[in-house]
Amino acid sequence: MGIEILKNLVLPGVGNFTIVDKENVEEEDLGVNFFLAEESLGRSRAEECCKYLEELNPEVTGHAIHQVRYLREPLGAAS
Amino acid sequence: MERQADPCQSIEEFLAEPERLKQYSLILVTSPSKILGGLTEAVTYARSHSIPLFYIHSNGFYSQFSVQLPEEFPIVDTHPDPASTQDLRLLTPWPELYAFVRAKVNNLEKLSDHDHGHVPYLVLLLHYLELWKALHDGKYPESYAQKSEFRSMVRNGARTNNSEGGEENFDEAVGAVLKSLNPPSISSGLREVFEAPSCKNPTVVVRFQQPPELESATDHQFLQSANFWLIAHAISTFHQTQGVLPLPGGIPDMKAQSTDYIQLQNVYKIQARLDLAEISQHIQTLEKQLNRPTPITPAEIEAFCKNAAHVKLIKGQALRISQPPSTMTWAPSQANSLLRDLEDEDSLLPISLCFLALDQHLETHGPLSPLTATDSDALETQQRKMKWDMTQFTDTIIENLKKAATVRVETEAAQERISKVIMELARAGPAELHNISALTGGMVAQEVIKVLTRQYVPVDNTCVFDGIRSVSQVFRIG
Repeated sequence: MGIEILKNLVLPGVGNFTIVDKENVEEEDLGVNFFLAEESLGRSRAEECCKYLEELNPEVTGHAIHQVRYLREPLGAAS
Repeated sequence: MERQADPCQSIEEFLAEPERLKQYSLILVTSPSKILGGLTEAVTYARSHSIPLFYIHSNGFYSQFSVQLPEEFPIVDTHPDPASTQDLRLLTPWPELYAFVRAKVNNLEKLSDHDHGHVPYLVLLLHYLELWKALHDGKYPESYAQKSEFRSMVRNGARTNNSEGGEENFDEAVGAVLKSLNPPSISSGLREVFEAPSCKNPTVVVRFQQPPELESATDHQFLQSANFWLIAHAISTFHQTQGVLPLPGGIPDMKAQSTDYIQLQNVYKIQARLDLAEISQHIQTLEKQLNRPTPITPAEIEAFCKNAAHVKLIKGQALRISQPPSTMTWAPSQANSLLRDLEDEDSLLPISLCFLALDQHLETHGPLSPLTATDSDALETQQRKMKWDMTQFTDTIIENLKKAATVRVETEAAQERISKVIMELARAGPAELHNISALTGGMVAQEVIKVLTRQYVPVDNTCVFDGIRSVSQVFRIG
């Protein structure tokens, strides 16, 4: 969802954007996010998306923040 | 440039640091299929620093975005429909315009066919309005009947003994009668602006809000706000003393000789410049009194004057974040309006309520796992828990809405529709459908651009998309 919005903002030239996402790229991400490639697997999702989004418009700069943790971790995994 | 976040820092801590967030002019939060972490902090920061924030959901066939705008969000350039907006002051002409008209219609009957057919229609209307006033006690045509009569009067002035059987400039004049002869009035949006305390007393606003240096996005926001109120105040004063808004100065295309058209255009432009100068003068005086470090640019004043009739002030609503349903409170008028909307079988409000329910479910039960049919037991359990939880939530919300409301409404049908939405959300689980997200992404990006550029009127405050029926709806939920 976020990537779709960012694509539409980068194309007209938003200037600067920052993605905050602690996750790494997994298999299921590749199916829904066309700004990730197979080589992205295992790397920071925020950084990989930034890299590919920046390709759309050389005048836009992307920043990634991925070293955060969620304070409220899930209360036991849903089975 | 960016400082990388401290590896051990939590997202909530990150968002709670105003220093960290100062550089951002807008925040987008997408609802994760995990937990609510960070949303409350982001919303609180955005609210207190007057930064717009969007909160977006996309699950299965449903999506929604809500926007939290700053408490005072003025828009100058609303891009109104050009056909409906030209202010030509036909009923309040000024001396130079009168003089121009009189010169052109001097000996109207004796003009050659060519010249007669090229008298600009504005001149014709102004001329015939004078004739009408002379016959009607100095009054302009007011009622529909009178305007129709006036229209016939103009129509009869056309020469018909030519190859076209009429004259284009007279046709233009006749066509313009009904929409151009309205007494000057201001729109409700503008009236709201003029009556706001910040407009009546902008010096208070400026002193309170003017930051010494422009560092953060919030500082820019306050500066824009202060500028807006100063200009609005000056225009309001102008309107009080002159009875009209500053002349925008544009005139429509019309059949005319080039020299005449340019002359007429200049008459309008010169008056527009005079109005602008008067307003600018007033603003400069105010700014000197306030010792403003960064005076408003002439371009900004001019843009406001041109668009004055159509400016809009949006009072941004705080985002409603999901909580345990029994703790959510509703004002009676809000409850009434939501319940009434639920009565409509086409309303998409059920989807909105279910997203609140979904958020609360994630908050208490943790993330949804991306299960497939191969884990049928686990999948069934997850879905069952979701349905139960969300049904409890929405039932409680409806109960509370009914308690808070002053109207009596039947909600069984609505609750039936809500359970269908819950079924779809449970079916979808954490999955987003790419096409739904793509469409929603387009809508959100468009609203973001409207908000960042302060042009056009953005959605206020929630837009829901139902991908099963392919319909969308906008409401204000607070």
